[in-house]
Amino acid sequence: MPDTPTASPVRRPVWMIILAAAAIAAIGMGIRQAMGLYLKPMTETLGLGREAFAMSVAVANIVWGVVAPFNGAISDSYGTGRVAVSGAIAMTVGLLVMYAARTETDLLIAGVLLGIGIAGCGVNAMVGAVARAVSPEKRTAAIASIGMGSGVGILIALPYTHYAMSALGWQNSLLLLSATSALLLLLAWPVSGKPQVPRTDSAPQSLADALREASRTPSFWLLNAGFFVCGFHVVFYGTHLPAYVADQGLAASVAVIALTVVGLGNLAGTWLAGQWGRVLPKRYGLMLIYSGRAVVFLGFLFLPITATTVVVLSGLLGLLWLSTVPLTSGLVATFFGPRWMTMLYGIVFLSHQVGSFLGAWLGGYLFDLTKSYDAMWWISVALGVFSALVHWPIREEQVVRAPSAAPA
Amino acid sequence: MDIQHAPRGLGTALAFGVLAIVGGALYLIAVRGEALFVDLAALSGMLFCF
Repeated sequence: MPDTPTASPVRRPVWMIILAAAAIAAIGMGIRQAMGLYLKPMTETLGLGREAFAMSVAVANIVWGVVAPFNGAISDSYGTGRVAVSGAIAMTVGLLVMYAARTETDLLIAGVLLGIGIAGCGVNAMVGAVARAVSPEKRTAAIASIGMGSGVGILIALPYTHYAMSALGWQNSLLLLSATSALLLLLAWPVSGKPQVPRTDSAPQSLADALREASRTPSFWLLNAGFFVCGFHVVFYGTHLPAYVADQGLAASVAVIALTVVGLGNLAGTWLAGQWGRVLPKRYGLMLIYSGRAVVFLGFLFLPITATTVVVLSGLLGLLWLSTVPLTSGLVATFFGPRWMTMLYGIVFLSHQVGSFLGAWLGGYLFDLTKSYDAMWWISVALGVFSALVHWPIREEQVVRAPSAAPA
Repeated sequence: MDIQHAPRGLGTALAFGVLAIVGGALYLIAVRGEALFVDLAALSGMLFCF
């Protein structure tokens, strides 16, 4: 029997599980993306410092990364539904706290709640539910569907929230977002249910055994190193592109078009990565993605920077954006099977979040120091090459476990 | 019952629905993009660069 336990004792249609997981990721990631729009109205209306808001968003990102492995363990033990419900409640309450916020402490509490919320309703929380529902050969493509859902959410959240803010006012728009996040409670049902442990020749693996096994698997650490670079690249680019475009004397509309093109390219790239993972080695796909990113970043160093080059390079980068997710999470499942996949992918994702933080922070730090982004482009090129190389020696096969002395 | 694939009608309706939502988002970006960008740009400079 393949290493695919059923998603729950009550077998639900696979398409329903994938659709619900993609919708949860779309709403969760979209709401997270829209938070940046509230900086200006909240700080101006409430008279709070911008640092307090920025700290709240940073805290949400850190909480997201730290909570992900714990949520993963709960998801793998008791089902993804519990994690999605707790995430939906935290996100709904967090948005209501933002709505009623009066002090900087309120903003920090909202940041913690939103971090917990996205940890329960983001892509990383959903991978296990989908991976357990499909056969190994379809796993990467199925996870790519969640990535595409997330990509749609990210793409549409900003314009719709911006419109809602101007039509309803920023406070009422938060009520609308809160009501939207409450919908996640309904979507949690298809992904709920305690995962069944697969019947194999190996002894049932405990959480501690899974952690021990992963810590002794060099390929797992190489994957962590590679995904760190993914976070570094995407958050550096997403955060600093507007400033870079302005620095080059280009119109603000160029940054808007470039980020939109990244979002559209991301949808195509994620789908392509899912198809790649069905038939070709996932590590080669990741090598191609990170090498491609290095080439794109070289373009920012050596091509004449015009509106056209920024948009074209952004489109190429979009193809290589979150296409790493299905391949990286697929490799975790290849190594260890789906039993503890959400938890182990949560650890890899924590590495991604550390890279994200460094990408955003170092971009600002080096720009202040050198008055140029050139150093960051070079670091991004070097990290792209590094990440491509660390995926090369990955052994894309299931970790061999000792057979049980007395199989059940 | 086929538990692997969504009913054909549902898949088509879903595809049209997603296309309409994404199309609406692209329209909003086209007509309000710069205002959206200005509101976002304030954050990108402040987020991690304390």
